[in-house]
Amino acid sequence: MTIEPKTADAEMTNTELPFIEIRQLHHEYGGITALDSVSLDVRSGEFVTLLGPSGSGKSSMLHILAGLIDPTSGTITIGGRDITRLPPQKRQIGLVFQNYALFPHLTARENIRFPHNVRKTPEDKAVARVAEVLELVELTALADRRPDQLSGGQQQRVAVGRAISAMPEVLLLDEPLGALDRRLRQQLGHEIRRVQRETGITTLYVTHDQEEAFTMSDRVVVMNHGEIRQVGTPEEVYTRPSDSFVANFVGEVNLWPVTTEAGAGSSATATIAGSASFTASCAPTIHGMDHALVAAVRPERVWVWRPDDSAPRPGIQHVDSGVIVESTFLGNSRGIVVESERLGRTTALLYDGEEPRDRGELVSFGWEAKHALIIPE
Amino acid sequence: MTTATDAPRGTGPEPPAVGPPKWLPANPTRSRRSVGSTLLLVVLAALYGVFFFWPLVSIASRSLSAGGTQSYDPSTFSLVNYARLFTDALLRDVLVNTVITAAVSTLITFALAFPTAYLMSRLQRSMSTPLFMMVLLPFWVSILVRLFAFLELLSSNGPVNWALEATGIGRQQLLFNSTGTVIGMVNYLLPYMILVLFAAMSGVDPSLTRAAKSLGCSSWQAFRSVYLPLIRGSIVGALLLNFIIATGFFLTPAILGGPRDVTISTYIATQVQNYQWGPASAFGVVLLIASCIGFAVAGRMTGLTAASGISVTSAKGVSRDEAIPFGPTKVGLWTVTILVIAFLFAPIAFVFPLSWGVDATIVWPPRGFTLDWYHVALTNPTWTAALQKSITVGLAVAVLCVVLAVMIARWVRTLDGHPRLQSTLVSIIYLPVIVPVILLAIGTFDVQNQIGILGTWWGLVLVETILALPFTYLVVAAALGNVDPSLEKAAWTMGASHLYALRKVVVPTVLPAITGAALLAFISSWDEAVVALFQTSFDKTLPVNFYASLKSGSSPVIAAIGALLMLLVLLLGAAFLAVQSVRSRRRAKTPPPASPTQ
Repeated sequence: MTIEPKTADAEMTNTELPFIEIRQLHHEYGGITALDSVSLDVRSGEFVTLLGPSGSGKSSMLHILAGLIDPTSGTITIGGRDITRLPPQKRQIGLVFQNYALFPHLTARENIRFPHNVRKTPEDKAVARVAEVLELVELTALADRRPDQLSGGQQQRVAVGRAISAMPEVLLLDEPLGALDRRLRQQLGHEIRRVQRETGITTLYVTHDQEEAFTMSDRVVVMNHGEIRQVGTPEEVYTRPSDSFVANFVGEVNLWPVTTEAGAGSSATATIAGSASFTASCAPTIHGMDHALVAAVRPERVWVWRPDDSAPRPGIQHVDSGVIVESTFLGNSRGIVVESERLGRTTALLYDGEEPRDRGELVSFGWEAKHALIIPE
Repeated sequence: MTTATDAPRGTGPEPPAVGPPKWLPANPTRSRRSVGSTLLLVVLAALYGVFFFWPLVSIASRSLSAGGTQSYDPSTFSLVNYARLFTDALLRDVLVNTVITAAVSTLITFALAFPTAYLMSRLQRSMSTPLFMMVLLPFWVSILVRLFAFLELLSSNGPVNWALEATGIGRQQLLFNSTGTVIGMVNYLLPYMILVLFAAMSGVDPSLTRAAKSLGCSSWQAFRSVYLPLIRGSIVGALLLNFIIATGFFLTPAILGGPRDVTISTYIATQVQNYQWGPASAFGVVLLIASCIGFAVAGRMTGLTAASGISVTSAKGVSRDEAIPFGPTKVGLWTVTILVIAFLFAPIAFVFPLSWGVDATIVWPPRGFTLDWYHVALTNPTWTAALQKSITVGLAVAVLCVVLAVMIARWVRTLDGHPRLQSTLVSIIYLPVIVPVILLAIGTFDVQNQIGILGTWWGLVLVETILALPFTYLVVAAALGNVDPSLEKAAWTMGASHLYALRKVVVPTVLPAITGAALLAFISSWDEAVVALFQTSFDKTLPVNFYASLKSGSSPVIAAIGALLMLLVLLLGAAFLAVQSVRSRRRAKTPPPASPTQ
């Protein structure tokens, strides 16, 4: 794979220098490449999420940043200071562990106080700061409980509080919500973001959950097999994925292998299985490339209508017709699967009584050219 | 959303990778730490080289020399000592006597332990746990105190003979012959045997025998054709284990068997005390080889050394699901169990009344009540000097053991990439448990004599440390293994040095285990008499002084000392349990976790 990921520089305004600069970071252990020459820039105060499946290298990257793993090669600078070979003790980084790693013999207050004890902060300053942090993570009332007397969510707050207590330059979070149930995850995700906004601390967040990544991040870094596949805002990553892996990982998508013929501007004519063809837009990443391409259409961009009718809106191309083989109520929408001769299975999301919607009904379907994206496989 | 794609999805529940990634953390202070582990390796090599391996090698070399002198020159090696073990009538008698005594003891122990373990495995936890604790209690009482009690219980004027006469059987000679030795050995072996059998039995699924009965087996047929084969390995292993332990016994035959009932261990001891090494060292080597083979085979058969861990922990306790119906079987099982527990408790309980009689010699039943003997025990300079030595040695051993155990356990953990080195190290730590203690006693006696440190305080401390380290290590390594490694890393990211993180994070979280381990090390040294017997002449430790007094005749002062020895251990144990329960109660008092949603 030689696709050049969109580098962060493209996103950055010229006036702002990157706060964290990661250059050609490479890590191998036991013959396995955990990180494959990764480069990334993070602005000061930014909330960046590393998103990827397990084994994608996102946790390795975080542990290397924290100084808990030595990279094979590459450099990391924070605020212009090269920290690549510094021990974790000297990095001024706060790390929140996946299992929180709270000290079981210390209360919430003492856990948050710990970094001040290590650094021998003057008593009055330490007390004031600990009180401030307890307030920030809303734990003042529970400050004197030990971790085993706190719920999972409360433990998580202690972990965040402890990590930011000594005012580190960078906050790293390693899947901090993974052990919690869904509702609590959403709520604490917002909490973390609030704390991050209030403190303005530059944050790198690791998760495999795209919903978490979208709701919290300024920018998302999608990783797979130790490589960065795409960097961008949540919206960019969702609507303009750089390849089929990203398209798939950040949400539901219909993918078909296609052959293309160049059209006007960035549009092209895509042909599926030599028969069904439609106009689609091309991702900038495919230009000059010579490998398999796919057309990607999100289910909510697929329109359906009765075969006798015409398309419900101008600009929607008729791509194929088929039979609804599955129809599932999803609360705010209805998911259907249309089986057609040329496209196989196509998933669509229907809102507000769109018709037809029942299993066994015949439908025509299609989409707008701007919502069908040609991307590398 | 619907599921249109089958490619990997981000929202699925990724199995949370608990703990750190497998590749171990970078080590910014790697060079400094490898200096530390090299230092530890040197210390361990010196300690085990001088006080464990050299003694054994020294015995082996003496056994190969016709005159029992030490020589490492292969051209002078001869097997004449080994030949004598089987040709010399006296030595052959010693060998045969040892094997028969051990075999008889093992079989009697098995006959008593099997019904007890079987009953315990079928009781509900609320019943089996107290029984279990009662069975294990003798472990906490010095073997010497128990032997002293038997000496009085079984004496010609003691309560047992008194009862025998009252029932018309007539007085029997129960002491200073193999009867005495066997009674003492059975008492010592019972807890071990019950432990191993219980571990095997509580893992047997009762639905298997139920299935056999549903297929037409009688209860007896089901027991014989299904139940016994399931635990056959453990039975054979337990028998072998107990037999091996019994052949290495020294104190029991030395005290209860008397001078006429000679076993290999007592023979070795008397010979070596007279500097006659020849056949004694050959006996020692035979004993050592038999022990190693026996432990290896027994360990495999009972699963005690299997990679899956100790079978006690893997037992799911399913056997307790099926209670034994009331009937002759149940009555019989309970009868044996109660007898076993009485037999285990009798000597312990018996010591106290002996210590408060007013007579200057021990008479049964004791007359009157006085605490004078305790006063004598605590003021007589012989005993106070011994007490002081035992305490200082015990404390030093406890500290050394805990420090070594923590360092070794942490070092072993960093060797994940070298499983063979790891297992070699751990086996060396555990090896002293297998070696019959009389061998280490004479071996270290020999070596310390040669390098001129025999009888020194620290010479004794180092040997006792090797003997106590296996138990300490077991407890400490298990506790440290449960400490989440990310705790330490978390401390590092907050600026804590490795030492600071160890002191303020790791050690406090395992403090209860470390206290318990220190206690175990102290008690191991506090009760140990065999090695100390050879290491001390005038400045005896408490157990050695106790042993010497036993040999020279009984007195209520010995009973008082015995009672004090027991009380100290029981008090330490009780204090430890009290601290634990206060801890857990304090924990229980504080409010439970608030509801997770808020």
